[in-house]
Amino acid sequence: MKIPDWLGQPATMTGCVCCDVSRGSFLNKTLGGLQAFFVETVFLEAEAAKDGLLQRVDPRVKVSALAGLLVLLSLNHALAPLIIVYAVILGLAVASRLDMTKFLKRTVGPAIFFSFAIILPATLNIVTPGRAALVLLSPAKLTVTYPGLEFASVFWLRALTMLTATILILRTTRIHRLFSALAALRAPNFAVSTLLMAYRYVFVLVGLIGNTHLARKSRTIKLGADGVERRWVAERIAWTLNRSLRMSDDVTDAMISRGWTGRYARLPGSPLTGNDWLAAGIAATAGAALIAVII
Amino acid sequence: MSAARGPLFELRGVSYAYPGGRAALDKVDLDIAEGARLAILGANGSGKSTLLKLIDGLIFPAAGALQAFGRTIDEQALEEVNFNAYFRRRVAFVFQDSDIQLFSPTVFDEVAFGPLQLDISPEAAARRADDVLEMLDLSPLRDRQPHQLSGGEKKKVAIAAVLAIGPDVLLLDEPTNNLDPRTRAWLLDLLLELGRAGKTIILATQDLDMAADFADAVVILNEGHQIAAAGPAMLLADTELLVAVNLLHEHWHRHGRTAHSHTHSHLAAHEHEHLPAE
Repeated sequence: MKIPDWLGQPATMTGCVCCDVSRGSFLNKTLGGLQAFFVETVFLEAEAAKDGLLQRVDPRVKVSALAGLLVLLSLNHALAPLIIVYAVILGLAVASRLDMTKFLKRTVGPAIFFSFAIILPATLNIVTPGRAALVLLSPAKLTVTYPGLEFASVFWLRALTMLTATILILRTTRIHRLFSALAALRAPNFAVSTLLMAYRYVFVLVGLIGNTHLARKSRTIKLGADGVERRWVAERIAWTLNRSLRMSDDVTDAMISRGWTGRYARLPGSPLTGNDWLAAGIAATAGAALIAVII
Repeated sequence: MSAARGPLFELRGVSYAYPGGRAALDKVDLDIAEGARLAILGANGSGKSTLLKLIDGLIFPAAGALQAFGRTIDEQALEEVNFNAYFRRRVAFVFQDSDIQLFSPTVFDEVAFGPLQLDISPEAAARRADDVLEMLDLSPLRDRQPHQLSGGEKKKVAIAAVLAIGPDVLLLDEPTNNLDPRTRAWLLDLLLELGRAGKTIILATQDLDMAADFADAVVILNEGHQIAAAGPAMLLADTELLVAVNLLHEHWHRHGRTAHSHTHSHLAAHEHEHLPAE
């Protein structure tokens, strides 16, 4: 084998290394995003594995209680029960030893972002008539009304409480046990298996994308024009999609090879412990109390 | 090669082409005896993985015929519920890419997946999974998720997952790829033990050392996707053949002032004597 002359020469450097300027790179941003995904996953796994109150409760009990709570909250139109339930949920989060700063950031922020924009018009007298709390446009008689504010408060607090309860269950349950609980509670096996496999292969594909970007980064001497870089990203997206399709064929082969014929058999869940029954009893009692308040 | 106890698999004139017409196998004739320890060798793209997939009934010959357990293996045969269950119970496949094979949320679920497809109770399937995990010293990984495993651990779990079915025939595609020496030695010991227990083991590999240590018979595919040679493991001593099928490489190199040529595999360390420098 004969290597060309230029390959035998030491690497040449043009330009000045001591007066460089940095430029934000899409490669670094993507790699940072992928890294954040893995960090977040490890964090969630660690939270779900803590020795906290809700982590000790069987996921079937938690999912059933959550489903019941969501139904009851959607039937409630008063502010006081919502405040009490929200306080209880925060108490449970503390007892489950969650990182409360991150927990509140993940719940209050989205609740504000998604529900405020929807509910703000309902505070106005043209949607909810009533006594004016704030005059916005005097000649046009556009006001924020007290009934409108009360309606908006209930709506927003309900959204916040529902979201917080759901995130609490997600954070205190390992994800595969959560899916297994759904299956045990008669969710269609096909749907649960699809969710589990999607969750499983997200990691494989994210790893694959990460390695592709690292390979590109290791050979990137200078970034091309934005259009060129965008084209590269688009090509990688198509490549990843293609790869995931091929992978799904291979996974199906692997399943068939081990006797799968389309039937999703499942392992039996372990029986509920005394603590699980106690938790179920407390949840049922709290639910009954909430029904009494709502009625 | 001929079978002492009658062939378990018989391939006659088997050809296969990928969609688009690219040939993967061309007129392959092969008998595989029950209890054989067979290594299928060949360079990249010679058709080793395709041959294993054909033997596992995941794809079917475009021409020729494949028989297993006295029956022709085609789509029709494997659509029969009873025969499919019989075949899948007896033949297991360890894929080259462990990530493909580890599709369940935890190690335990993965190992229990196969037994759950059998006609045994879920409790018995769970016990079987635990037995295999214990046998392979994988119990500490029981509740781990596949993405939390190292490459070697993934391979071990993939093997545990197929052993839990209790197969008679084990197909392994490039099983030593990316394994560290200790895991490779573990795998070799396991395969030899399974071979002594009477299992038929067929592995596709480019690892000549693994083939020499493990196999009692070899099939060598050439780059024309045909069988270049098939017979006892002593074929691995035929360096001319191995160079011809691109499994060995011959080149010149120099030690001190001594320049010489010899053949070697690119997958393993090699030793040779050197004449003293003149």
